[in-house]
Amino acid sequence: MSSPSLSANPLLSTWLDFATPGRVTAHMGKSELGQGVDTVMVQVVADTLGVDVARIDIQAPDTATGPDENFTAGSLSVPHSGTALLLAAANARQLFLAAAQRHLGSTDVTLEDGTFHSPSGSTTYWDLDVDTDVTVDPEIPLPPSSGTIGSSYARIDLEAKITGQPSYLSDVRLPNMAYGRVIRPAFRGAIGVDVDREEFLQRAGVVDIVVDGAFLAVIADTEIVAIKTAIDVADSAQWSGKPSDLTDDEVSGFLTTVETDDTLLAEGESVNPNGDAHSARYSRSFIAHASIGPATAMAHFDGTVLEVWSHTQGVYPLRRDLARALDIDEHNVRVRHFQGAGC
Amino acid sequence: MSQTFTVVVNGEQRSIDADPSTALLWALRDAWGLTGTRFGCGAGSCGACTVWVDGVPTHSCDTPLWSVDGKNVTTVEGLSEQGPHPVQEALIKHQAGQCGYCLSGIVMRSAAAVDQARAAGNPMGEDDVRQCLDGHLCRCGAHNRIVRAIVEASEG
Repeated sequence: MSSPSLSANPLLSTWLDFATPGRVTAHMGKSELGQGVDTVMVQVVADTLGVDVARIDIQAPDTATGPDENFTAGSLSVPHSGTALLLAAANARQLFLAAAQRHLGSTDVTLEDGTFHSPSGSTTYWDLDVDTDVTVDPEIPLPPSSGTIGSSYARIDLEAKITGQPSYLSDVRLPNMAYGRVIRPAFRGAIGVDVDREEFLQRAGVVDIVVDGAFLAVIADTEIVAIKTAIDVADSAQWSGKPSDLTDDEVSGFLTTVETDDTLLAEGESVNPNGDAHSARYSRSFIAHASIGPATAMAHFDGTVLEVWSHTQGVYPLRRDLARALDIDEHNVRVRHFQGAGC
Repeated sequence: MSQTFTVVVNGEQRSIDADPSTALLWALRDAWGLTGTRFGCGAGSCGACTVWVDGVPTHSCDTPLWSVDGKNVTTVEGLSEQGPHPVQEALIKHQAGQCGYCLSGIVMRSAAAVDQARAAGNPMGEDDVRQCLDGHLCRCGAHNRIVRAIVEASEG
């Protein structure tokens, strides 16, 4: 069995953590978007370790503590994360079972909800001292399934959402948090904006009006002030630049006429040189991808380390992009996933 | 420009000093910390922010504070005093949701209709539920489970 996620993150300790007595924390790099992936991983880990599903905690993707699994995309979370956690858990079970046999002085050991029993006594995953900074063996035989994998389980996150509990990043409040609203340009092709910052800065609760090229945003003490001010700033903003007169249908033609900087991504032989050749040209206009709610992010910067909470589908790719955009060292950026409105 | 508005939210009197045009949604979420009401489109088009105003399902994102002064507002947090509402129980049972962002609004809209249907002993059919939820968008595609759950809840 193999998983690109495991190849990139081969250490057992990257995936599973037994530090909290009675609990198992499973780390992953794929984001829960409502597809139920967290619940699946609970089933995989519980079944393979031989512990109850109620003991498993899923740690959302986090560049400080979790594996780099690139993006959550292409329906690959179960094949990639699921296989990695399956193999990590099988390795852990084998290591802990061997340690239990040594500790109990017996090979007659059975496992029940995380406790290893023998005629002479018992011990648990949390009592045994086992080094988990070891490479996961992908060829390990899998332990017998208790049936948890393959059964239908209620989503671990859905009841909170149905009963209106704080569930999304937009529901999170940090102490002394400020709120932002971005004001989009009035037309495609805007390159700058003129706005009376001083006028809006006098408004109670307004922290700053940020202007950088065609980027315009309001920062305020409360969300209400940020929203109201953003509406008023949008009404008075004077955008500069030449509105693009390209229609959607003209975009593909435009792209083939502008000056280009070509990069060859791949070159290869035809897999079937005797087959029929097919030649065609495909294009599509701009498409909008809209979630049911707006994108949200939260950030804290102490002057050195930038911490970001986002409903991103790839915490590590976002960390790279943020470091590049803000010109700070990648290791001083920590990105954590927090659920948002779908994807 | 700011005025003081008082609203009875889930039976509790709440006040806010704000511009009269401020949407009820932002008083709920930002001033009073009731984040169960979600911000979807902000234009009264998706239904995610639905609450009850004097018992009537209403989009809170385009309902200005001046229009609810002195009224009773019920949010998803105050829908049921003891445990989940029958609609919420049915949605949980049917696992009717993916990202779940639309569900607070769907719960509030359908709970009003289900309460009426149960009081009248007149369960809702699938068509009734689809009509009731016509103004509620779900981008994930959980509609059929949601409809089945609400039909069941209306049967009492």
